Amino acid sequence: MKPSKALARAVLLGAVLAPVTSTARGQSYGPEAQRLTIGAAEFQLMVTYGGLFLGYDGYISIHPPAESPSSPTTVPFVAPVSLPEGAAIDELCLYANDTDLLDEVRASLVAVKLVPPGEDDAQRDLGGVSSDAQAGYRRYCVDMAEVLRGRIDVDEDGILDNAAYYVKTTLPFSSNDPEFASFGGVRITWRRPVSPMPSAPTFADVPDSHPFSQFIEALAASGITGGCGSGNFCPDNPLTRGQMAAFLSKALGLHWPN
Amino acid sequence: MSTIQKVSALLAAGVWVSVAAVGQPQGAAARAVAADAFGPDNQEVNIGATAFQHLNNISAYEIDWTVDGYLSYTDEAFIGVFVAPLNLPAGAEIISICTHFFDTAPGAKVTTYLDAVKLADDTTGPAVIPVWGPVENDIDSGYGVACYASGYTFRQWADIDGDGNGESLVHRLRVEMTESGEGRLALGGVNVVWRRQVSPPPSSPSFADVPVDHPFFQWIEALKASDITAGCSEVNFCPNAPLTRGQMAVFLAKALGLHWAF
Repeated sequence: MKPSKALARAVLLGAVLAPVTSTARGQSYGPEAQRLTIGAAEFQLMVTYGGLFLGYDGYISIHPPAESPSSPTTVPFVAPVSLPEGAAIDELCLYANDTDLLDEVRASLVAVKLVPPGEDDAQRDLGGVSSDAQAGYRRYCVDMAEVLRGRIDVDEDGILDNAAYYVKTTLPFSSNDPEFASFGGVRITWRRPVSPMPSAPTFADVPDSHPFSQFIEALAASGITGGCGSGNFCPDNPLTRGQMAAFLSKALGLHWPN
Repeated sequence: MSTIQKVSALLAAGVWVSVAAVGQPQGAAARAVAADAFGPDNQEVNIGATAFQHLNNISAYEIDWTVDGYLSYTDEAFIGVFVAPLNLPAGAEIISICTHFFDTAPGAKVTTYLDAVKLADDTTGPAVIPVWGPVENDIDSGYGVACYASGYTFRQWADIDGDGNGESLVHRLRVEMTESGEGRLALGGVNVVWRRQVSPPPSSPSFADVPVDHPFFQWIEALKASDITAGCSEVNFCPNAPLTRGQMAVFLAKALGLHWAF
């Protein structure tokens, strides 16, 4: 099926099912690991196939149409992954209920190339984890080492592409029983690393060798500081309460009342 | 004064309100996400009806979006159950939840819950645990908004069933609608007011010079717990030492994960 036709059918279905896609998340701060838990209600069915069945246990399964179509081997669901630029992903966990004899439930992190005119499309599977057959309700985790960037070389042709990330979860299709395999969601463990150093130092008094250079460069790159004048940052000057107020207000975009 | 301000004034008195015909609805924002502002002040997020999906399949002609951006539900036989994810930072306190709806259907009502969905680990099964609600709305007179205070602290990882083990949680707003066959029942969206909370301090201090009775104990422990600071030596934080501009840069850059250019 051509994409446009598939899209038209998906829109017809989507008008009913109104699949929900979170585009941003409540996030914590600091370099310590934190978790992004994406529940089943945030996934949408990726193909035009019957419908989704969001059960009363909070898990999602497929809902076969009355007239069975040519059977797919797997039915994919997707949810966007929206994390800050530079977020480091350490682990991906799948919560699945697998009572199926043969096939598996699988979750993987996928980068999609946003294709400029005239270029080829590309997607890259960045790793994932599968369920064990007939294991019932279980959690499955896999270690990952991915730094999410808005511009990466998805198709490995040496040119950076704009990339979007999503989690794809596939349910097996082997019977008309909607209860035979379901998933509750995906949990991503991630951190906020400080950005790498630029090639040349921004401030004359903060050379590469300065112990705080990476952090001061990060503040300059984000526009929070322009230094103390004359091309310097004055890293050893005491901070006044007034400067502290300026740093915090700029950094956090304080404070627009509702 | 906006609808929310009017309702907030009533909420401040701790009352549960059902206000009919408060003027034009604010419109359903298709946003299932937390407005991610900073500071401990209250902030709010509007989750429009388009962010909700039906819990089970129903036919297209039982839902209508065309009138005013509200989701009309017209099935007399079954309760319509609609869910939308709610995502807030760990430790966020939910102040109040307001349901915007339209009701001219005698006997029909809109009922709102906030559910924590416990994802199953290897030893126990899943569970859907209402942590707020049910709040029933039945006014029969047009546009309405109903609010009720919460106080629930939002966590993605907590021991919600009290079995001594933490479990992954996802949260969803659940709105159930019944129809009477007359009039109209519709969901406009749900407004959630919340605020950031600094984490509670541990029972024993991390730094020798910041004991539990230090006035800044909770805040210094929060920085330690998030790995933003390791102190000024192996055992101390030096809370009264002056801060240099360079040290400030380290704190901010670590806290915010600065700054990856696109």
